[in-house]
This record gives sequence, C-alpha cells and structure tokens, in this order.
Amino acid sequence: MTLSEMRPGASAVVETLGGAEAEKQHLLDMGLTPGARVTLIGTAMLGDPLIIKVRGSRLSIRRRLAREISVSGGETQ
Amino acid sequence: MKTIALVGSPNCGKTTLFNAVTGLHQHVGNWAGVTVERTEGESVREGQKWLKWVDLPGVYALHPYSAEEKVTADFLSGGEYDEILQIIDATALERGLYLTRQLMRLSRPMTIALNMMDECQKRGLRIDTRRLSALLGVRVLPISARDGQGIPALLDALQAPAKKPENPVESPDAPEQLAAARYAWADALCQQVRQGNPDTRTRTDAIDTLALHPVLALPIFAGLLGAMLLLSFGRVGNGLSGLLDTAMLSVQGMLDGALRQWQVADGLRRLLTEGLLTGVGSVVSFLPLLLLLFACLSLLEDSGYMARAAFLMDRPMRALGLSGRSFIPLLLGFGCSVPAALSARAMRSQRDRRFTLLLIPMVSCSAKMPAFAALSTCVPGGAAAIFCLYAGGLLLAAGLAQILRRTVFPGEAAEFVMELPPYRLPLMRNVVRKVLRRTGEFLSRACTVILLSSMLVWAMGRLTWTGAWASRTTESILGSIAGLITPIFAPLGFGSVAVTAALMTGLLAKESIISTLAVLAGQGSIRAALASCLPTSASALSLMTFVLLYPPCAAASASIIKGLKSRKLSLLMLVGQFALAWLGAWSVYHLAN
Repeated sequence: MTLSEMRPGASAVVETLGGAEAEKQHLLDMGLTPGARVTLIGTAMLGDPLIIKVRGSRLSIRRRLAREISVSGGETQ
Repeated sequence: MKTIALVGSPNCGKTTLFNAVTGLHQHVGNWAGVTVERTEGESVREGQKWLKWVDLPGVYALHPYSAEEKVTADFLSGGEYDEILQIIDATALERGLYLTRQLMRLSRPMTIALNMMDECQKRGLRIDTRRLSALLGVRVLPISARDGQGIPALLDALQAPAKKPENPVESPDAPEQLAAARYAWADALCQQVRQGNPDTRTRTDAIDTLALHPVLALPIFAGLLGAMLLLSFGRVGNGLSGLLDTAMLSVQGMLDGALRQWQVADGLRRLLTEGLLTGVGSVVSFLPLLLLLFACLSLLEDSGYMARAAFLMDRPMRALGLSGRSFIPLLLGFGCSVPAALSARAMRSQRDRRFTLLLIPMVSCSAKMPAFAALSTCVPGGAAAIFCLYAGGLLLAAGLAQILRRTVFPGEAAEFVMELPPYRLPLMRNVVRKVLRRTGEFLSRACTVILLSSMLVWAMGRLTWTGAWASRTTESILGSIAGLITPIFAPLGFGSVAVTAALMTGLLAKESIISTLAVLAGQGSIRAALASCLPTSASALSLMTFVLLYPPCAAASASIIKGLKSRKLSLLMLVGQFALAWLGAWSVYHLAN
C-alpha cells in the first residue's frame, strides 16, 4: 500500500521510498525512514497535498510523491 | 575573538537566539555565488565585542541538494570559525539529533543549545541535559530563547573552549539505510534522556483542526487575508497616507519659503521643491502601506500560519506551474506591485521566485484604477468594461504562466515536502526587526530610482531643449520626445502627444496618467480632455488595455528587477511587457471597431 492510499487518521509503518534522489533524501532527512511510524492527518482539497505526522513533525507532501512511499500495517480507504 | 557557527533546522528558534545575543550588531550580506542570505553579528559586553557569530541558513541535514545545505556544509568543513553551536528544538529532539550526528562527523568543537524548554515543560516532557551531554561528549545547555532563559548561562559557557565530539563510525551505505541508522541512534538517545509522551495532542493539533478543516479552512484563510488587505489598503492605511501627504505639503511649503529667502536661483528652487520633493513624496507615500503589510506578513510567518496558507494553495497554484508559496505575493499584486515583489523576493527557490516576480506585473495594481475609471466613461457599459479588462488580464497571466513553465522555468515548483511548524505566538521584537529591515531595503533601493526619475521627468516636462522654461508642455523635452514616439500609437487608436506623454509619466506612477492627460490636453475637464484625445470608444478600450499591460511604475519595476537578479530576464520582461501591451491594444482596437 502507498502513503496516498491511507485513510485519514490511520497510522502505518514506512517500507520503501521512491522518487528522485534529492526528493528521497529530503524525505529521509525529515524522518521518513524505513521502519518509521507515520500517521496521515488529512489532505487539502482535491486530496493534494497530504499532511502526515512522523517523529513528532508535521509534513506536507504532494500526492505524486506520496504515491512513491510504500507503507504497511495501515488501513486503506 | 572566538567565531561561532550557528547551525540549526528551520523553525528551531535560531533567529531569536541570534537576535538575543547580537542585539543591533548584525550585518546581512550574501554568500558568494548564491542568493542565500549571510548574516553575521557580534556579542558586545561593556562596549567590547567579545564573540563573533555566523548565522548559517536553517538546514535539516548536510547533503548537497539545496543551496542552503551546500553553503552550510561548505562553511562548516572550511576553517573560518572556531566552534559550532547547534540549536535543537527540544520538542523535535529526534530530528535535531539526526543533524547532530552529521555535525559530529566534522570533529569540530561544538556545543548544543536545547531550545524551547518552556514548551517541553508545558507538554510534560523532561529532558536530562546532563545525561545527553555525557552520552554525546559535548556541552548541552537548556534555553528558552523567547524569554531569554538560559542565555546568560549559555554565553558564560561559551567563554570556555568546547569539546570535540567523537567521530561516529558510519559505513557508506544506501541513503535509506544510512538515514535509518542515524535515526535509530537518535531514537535510542531520546529513549534514554527524555521522559514523558512526545505524541500528546498539542495546541497546534487543536488549531490545525480549524485551520485545515475540510470546510472551514478556506473561509478562515480568506478572512485572514481580507483583514490584512483591509487594514493596509483601507481606512488605516489610507489615513496614515493622508497624514503623510499633509506633512509633505508643509515640508514643501517650508522649503520653498526658505529657498526664496536665501534667494536661490528660480530653476534650482523649483527643481528642489517640485522635482525632488515630489519624488520624495511618492517614495514616502508607500511607507504606511509597506509597514502595515510587512507587519501582517511577519505575524503570519512567525506564528506558523504561512505554511498552512502555502499548503492550502499548493494544488491550485501548481496548475500554473507555481507552488502555494506564490499565492500571497500574487494576491498582494492586486493592491500594489511593490510589496508583492518584496514578498516574492523572500521565496527560497530561485526558479519559483523569478517565475512569481515575472507574473506580478500582470496582476493589475490598484493605482491603475483611477485611469480605468476615467477611461471607462468613454465606453458604453463602463463598469462591465473594467471587469472584462481585469478578467482578460488574469486569463492572459495564466496563459503567460503556461508559456513560461514550458520554456523559461521547466520543472516542478519547489517545496514538494514542506514542514508545518508548530504554532507559536510571534515575538514582537522579531516582528518589528523584520518589518524595519524589509522597509529599509525598499527605501534604500527604490528610493534612488524614484527620486532620480522624478527629478528627470520634472525637468523634461518643464524645460525646452535649449534649457529655457517651456511655456507649453508640447514645447518641452518631454513633449518633443512624446511627439517622436506618438506615431507608434496611431494604429492603436490613441496617437496624440498628450496621451503619449501621459503614458510616459505613467511609467513613474500610474496615478499620474489621467492628471497628466488632463493638463496636456488643455481642455476644461477630464471628460473633455478624454473626448478630444480619444475619438472613439474603441480608442478608449484600446488605451485601457495598453495601461493594463505595459510596465508598472518605477518603484515596482525596480523591486522586481532587483529580485530577478538577471539582466537578461529583466530586459526580456520590459521588452515583453511593451510588446504585449502594444499587441493587446491593437487587437482590442480592431476587434472593437
């Protein structure tokens, strides 16, 4: 399952990250590492971008990038 | 004198600490070759400078992917400093320690300041700084930069040399594994030194339930923006402007009287009172607006709401090829292009910044309104014409955006991942400092441009080529130049010297278009002046289109050009604006006929 398919309010564990080198590194730096717990707080209108909470920080992530982050253990919409 | 390199992530309170330890002893410059600001300062005690600070840009890590990270990493691996001071937001300890690990690999003397301890206390979190210090091998001091708590102790501690941390062993690995390992280390440390639950529902969560509510978010956003615009462009802003105008008039009167008393030559006296002071007056007229707008914007930024605004507007802005961060500068453009440009210049991504700056002139500013209003009287269905003009202008702007994103600015807008910082009450000291600095930047640059061009236009309008006083404006330098240019406007339906000269003065200030036209046409009223210069309503429409699209006032153009930092783009912009205005007016004229 990808991050973009999570239900708002649900929690999951990060598995792998896709995206370009710079994007991936930025996500990793912000705490989105394999094994980290991530919670989907909500989205803007049209479902883009998404807001997630990871390691105590709130991040806004564009849907395109959220599709490249696979997670496990969460509930789909 | 020791030099300290100040490092920390964005939103960790680094600026507050920097301001607290340096006071007024700061200087802002640029890092060589990039558009990143370099701020340095000194700590002063009893009139003596005893500590030097280099405030590095806020970064989350030291990878060379962004200009800020490169600048910070390069500086830290170089030798222009003695010790590192890292500021960590204690409420985001894991992320701070992630950066700490990378800093430790530099093996330089370092100290850590754990900021926002007051917030930690409120959340029931306790951090054992002594234990953390022992585990890391460097000094760790708790502070709360907002109230100044812990800062004297920090400064005292900095007098003694810092220790070099042990260089952590790391095997080269895939980025994911390396980051995971570093965070695992950070997580383990947090377990050992932090007590309490860091994931409790906070005030920020509560406020965000409203600010990011699926239904209420946009109305709240619109309300906040509306309040800001109403304050700056409405009663308060206008009231202050009025006061300033009155003050300027008295200054003008006093100067005139004084110069006459000293029997200064007529020409010089008039140059100073009419030319120079009018220029000064027009610069000063921007001040109330700028001060109010910058105050509102700084409050929005420092409170943390700005990030939410950028989040809400991200998707719609991406349809244009921009990011949510561009929304507010473009919105400000409806009021005045000067603060719009100044706001856009604060954007981090160079591509986004330049793209936004180029679009700002296409959002028609409020100073053009008097011209539109007057011209619309010559057109049947006047108010509808103005509406169509604005709508057409916006469509054109959207079209231009599409062209620009495929040619000059390929790629996606930056900030595909953005932190939404916790909400914090803005510190008034910081807000005042920001407002004064931004207004000062405007004054120092736009000032010279406006003053010089005011005096030049005044002289050109009053003198003939031989240096004598012109009895009629058509005899003046301005008049003859306008006469030469006028044929260009013939195909557009408004080829008369009066209109040309009016458009030329409009390059200085849009408000003067109609007044100049009235004076030059030599008729009794504005209506009559317009009637004599614009034979048909098609001419009026065409002139309105030209005014909509041609370059903005000197202050705005100067602000935009300074932000573009590219002679090529600036030239392209000016030429493009004239070309677009001419073509637009020509099309409208022929369509309307």
